[in-house]
Amino acid sequence: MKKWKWLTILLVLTFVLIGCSNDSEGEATSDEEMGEIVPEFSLLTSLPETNQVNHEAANAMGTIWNDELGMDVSVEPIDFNVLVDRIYGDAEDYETYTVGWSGRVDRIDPDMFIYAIFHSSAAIPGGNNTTRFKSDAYDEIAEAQRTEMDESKRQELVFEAQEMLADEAPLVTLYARDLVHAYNNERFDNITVMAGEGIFNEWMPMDVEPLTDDKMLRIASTQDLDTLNPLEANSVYEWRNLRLIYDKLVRLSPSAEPEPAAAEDWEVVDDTTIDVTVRDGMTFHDGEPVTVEDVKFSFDYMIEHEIGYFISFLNPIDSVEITDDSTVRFNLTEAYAPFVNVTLAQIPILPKHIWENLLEEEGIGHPGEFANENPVGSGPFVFDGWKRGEDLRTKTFDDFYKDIAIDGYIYDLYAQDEAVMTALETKSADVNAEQFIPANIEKAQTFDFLTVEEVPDIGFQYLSFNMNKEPFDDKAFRQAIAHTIDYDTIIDVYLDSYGIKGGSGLVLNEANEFWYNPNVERPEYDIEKAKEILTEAGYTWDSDGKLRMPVK
Amino acid sequence: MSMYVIRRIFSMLITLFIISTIIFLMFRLMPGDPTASMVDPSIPPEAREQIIERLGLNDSYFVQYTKFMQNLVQFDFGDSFYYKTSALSVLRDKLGATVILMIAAMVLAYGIGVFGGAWMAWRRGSVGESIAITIALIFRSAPTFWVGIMAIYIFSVLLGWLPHSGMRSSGYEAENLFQTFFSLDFLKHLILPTVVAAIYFLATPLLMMRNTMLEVLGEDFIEMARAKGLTERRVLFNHAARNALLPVVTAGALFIGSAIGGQVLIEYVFSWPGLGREMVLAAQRHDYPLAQASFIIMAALIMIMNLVADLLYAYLDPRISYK
Amino acid sequence: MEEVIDKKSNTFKRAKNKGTLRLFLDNLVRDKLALTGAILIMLFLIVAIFGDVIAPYDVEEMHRDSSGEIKKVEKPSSDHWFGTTNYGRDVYSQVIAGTRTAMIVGGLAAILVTLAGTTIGIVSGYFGGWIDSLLMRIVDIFYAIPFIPFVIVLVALMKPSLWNVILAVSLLSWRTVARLVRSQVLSVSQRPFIKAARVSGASNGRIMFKYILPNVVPIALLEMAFMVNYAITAEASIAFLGFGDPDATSWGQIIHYAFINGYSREAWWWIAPPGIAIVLLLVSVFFVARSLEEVVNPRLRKR
Repeated sequence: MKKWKWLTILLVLTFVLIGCSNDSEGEATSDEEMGEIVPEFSLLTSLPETNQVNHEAANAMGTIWNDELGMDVSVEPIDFNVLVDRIYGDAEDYETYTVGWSGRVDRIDPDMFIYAIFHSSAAIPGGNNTTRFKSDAYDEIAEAQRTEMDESKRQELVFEAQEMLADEAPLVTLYARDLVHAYNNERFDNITVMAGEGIFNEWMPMDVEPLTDDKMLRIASTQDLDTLNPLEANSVYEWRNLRLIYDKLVRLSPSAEPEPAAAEDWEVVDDTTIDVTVRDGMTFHDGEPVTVEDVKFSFDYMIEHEIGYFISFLNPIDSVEITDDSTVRFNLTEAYAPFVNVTLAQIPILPKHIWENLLEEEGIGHPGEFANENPVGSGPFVFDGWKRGEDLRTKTFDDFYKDIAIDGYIYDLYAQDEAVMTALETKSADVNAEQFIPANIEKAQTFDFLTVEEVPDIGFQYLSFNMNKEPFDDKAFRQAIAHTIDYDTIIDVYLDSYGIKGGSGLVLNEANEFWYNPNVERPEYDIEKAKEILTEAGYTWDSDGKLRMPVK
Repeated sequence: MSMYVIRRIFSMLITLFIISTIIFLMFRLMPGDPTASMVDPSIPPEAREQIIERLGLNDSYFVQYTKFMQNLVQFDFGDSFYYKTSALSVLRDKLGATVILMIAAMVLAYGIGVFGGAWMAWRRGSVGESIAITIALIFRSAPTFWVGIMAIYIFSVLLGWLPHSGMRSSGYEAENLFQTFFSLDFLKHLILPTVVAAIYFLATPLLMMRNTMLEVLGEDFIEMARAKGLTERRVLFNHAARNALLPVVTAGALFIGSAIGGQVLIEYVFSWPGLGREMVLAAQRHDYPLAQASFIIMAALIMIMNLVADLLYAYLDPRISYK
Repeated sequence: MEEVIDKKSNTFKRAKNKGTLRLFLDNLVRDKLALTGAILIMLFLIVAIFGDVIAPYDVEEMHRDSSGEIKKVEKPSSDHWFGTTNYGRDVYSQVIAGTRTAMIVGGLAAILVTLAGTTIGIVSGYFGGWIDSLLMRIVDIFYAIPFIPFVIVLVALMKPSLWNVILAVSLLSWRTVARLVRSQVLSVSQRPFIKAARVSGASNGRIMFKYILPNVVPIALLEMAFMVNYAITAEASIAFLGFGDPDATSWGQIIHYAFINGYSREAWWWIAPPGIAIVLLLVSVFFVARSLEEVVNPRLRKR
């Protein structure tokens, strides 16, 4: 008996429902004439612990896309490891995501942000083109800037590439964070700061002038070091120290121009041949002289062992030869514009006499496995001890070719940003290595003995699409999305005004003075405008307010 | 007795084996690329492959598991992916830091708890007792991390009396192990985290001492002591407290075991370089060897404390014998 | 807390089933602390249920002042009783939203743990033999696992969500209840009426359900009260360490945000209220539980 009752109710309900849809017949037909409903998708983002700004921005975008644009989006905050796994994985299991590129100094050269992350050859699983942007016209320009050895011509190409990116909007930059640091102005003077690098750049310890008798510079950091082996070091935190212990042929000046370091000079003989003259009379910290042999060995050794951190800069090298006892010639397989700015400015010079027979002596299979407990280089500072998790100590190298005013520096580890702030406050640290969190900037400004320095970052955080999937393959759709991001709130509220506004395809910004194209326009936060763009491109909203694809 | 200990140790090893297996599996099943936090995402896929290969993560789970177990038998937990050195050597110092903080807090909590509990039993039913119970329960209810933050706010920020983080001041160089742990600088750093941990621990010995005291006070020999005309104070401390102490002390050893995992929070708030903090970081970084090692060491520690509790009980209470 | 109960279980005396509730209610009325606790718990429940109505604002809303500036880390005012966060969000509304999370976690985890623990405890204690040793071995294993770290890994494994936090906490906590219930069952099984039931041919299920269960309910209930607190503390701790559900506002999460953003040393109005809420709720549960404990364990009754 009961069963029948239920069945009746069910039947009645069905009729009512059918009746209802019949009532609105007029509209229903028009819904059918429209395209498919825009497929539901997810927006992968960071956990608030990893990047709170991205997390907040993603939530805000998700709300707008759902409530204002009638899409079906779920914002998914996930662990950084999982995020990387998803966007680099073989399954290509992602639609949209927020992530960022950090502003490593070698990325001042535009090759990374123009070529490596947008060239179609990298649009494969595991490749860096996680946007899956594929454009022949763009590829052509990106390749051309890479092989153009003339800087001003190259600049034009890079400018053109930026305009294309702004129009195509394969990704939308959300913001670039400012790097804010402070130093103790009672103890030290003449502090060099560098865009994209901040205060712990390679020049600061070499240029700084002590004001008191205590000439030891104490740098406070929250980043522990994994290793001091230059063939294993994989993070900027290690390299900030290693590049002071090991010397390089070229160093980028504070305005990012290549400057002679261990190289006295260099000459671009032709597009694929570069001669480097090695400075005379240099020695390693153990007293052995630095020779052309060591230089050739360093490059060959890194190439032979495929050192991941540098591999993309080393790939263009065909061979390294010694032409006389002060000259090394690099033969490239093809013209490679960033060779001096990136390759020569990145690769450390290793003492051949230590590394040459290392594998046999230590019985290891890869030089990355070597502990390198006592790193010997020829850089401005001599290694003086490392207590894992506590500090790294260095002394100034007296025989270095540049005069250094301090006695050395200590890289002191603290557990959190809070502790670093207190160390500056209590004068037990002189500068902070990593940028302040917004709360501490205000605090630092209240102390007269602290000078707060602010520089823009060349790295950036962005929203990206998987252009292999609908509707992200549509330029109009991406352009519309660029108008749904509240750029001002990101900067003013989340970043306390310490940052640069983002924009479509904006991979280079004001921080990168030479390569940034100031004529590129940035979209404004304007939801109406976004709807307009969508309407123009044929998108419609159905009777439920759901966004529908253009009719094919 | 020795047979009992041997049997216990044997069953401990089996438990450890099972826990190691569970932990091994858990980390392998965890989503996410273990190389993501070790290498910059921009390095070419081949180079990333090479790292995965070198870490042995390409082998089948079975091969990885056999290797893991073989090494474990030799007390080798493998090299930490992140620190690139043996996991055991990373954890050695951290374990010391954790244990010192833990013991300091336990001593403080038990010192106050035992006397406080005896006093409460003596004054049972009084307003003082109710207040003491209320305070103990408030202490037990307050999350340690919150008490820690409040303590830092009051004692380090507002009053500026004590350092707020870490184990020693920056640049402080200990000349030897003794100085590392017994210098004035270290002791100053130890005060706040110890007190905060002790506040959380306090309720256990306090309430337990009170309850066992109440039970003991009802027993015959106490009545006899009273009948002999001894003062209440002497009855309380010379006769009752002595007998009530036994279960309280043994519970202490058990408690250390279960509390050691909760230490994470205090270590996090006070930047104390201990085992718990390291374990959380290792799990976050997908540093399997380090996370596995810290889990297993903690589990072993807990089990050893449980065994100690039982043996202590047998030693202190002659009525119990283990065969 | 577990150990306190654990040791005491040796001395458990038979709780008179009839009138346990009666005794408890009498106790509650007599014991002023317990009464206060019960009233406070009711209040928290009301806030949890009607949170949406009580909270003045949406937790996500970013408030701006008349000139359009974000109200960043502002002290308590008539508009914002507990002040604002660094993104201009209302702390008071967040604390109210956190009440519901705490209640859900505490309630659900306690029910799950008690059900699982009691079942396993009864089965283990009643059947004895290899079933008992196997189950107790498993309990031993769970006792050796460090709690907070394991929950963190488990939650990361299953994706951080409120339900997974509840599940992970429950998975690790049933052991205490199981052990206690088992020892209670052991002493109950020796009693004549159980033996009589056996002789009269009652099925195992019937004996366990009809005769044993009523005798372990009081202790299971008491344990459930402690589990509520245990679960709430665990959730708060996990959220504070940043492993909680990012989409569920919880008291631990509020403190977490203040801490990672570097405001834990200035904005007392941001840190203090969620902590005080935790303390108030947990203390209330303890007070009520104590009153229940005196019923279950007559030795503790005031003489």
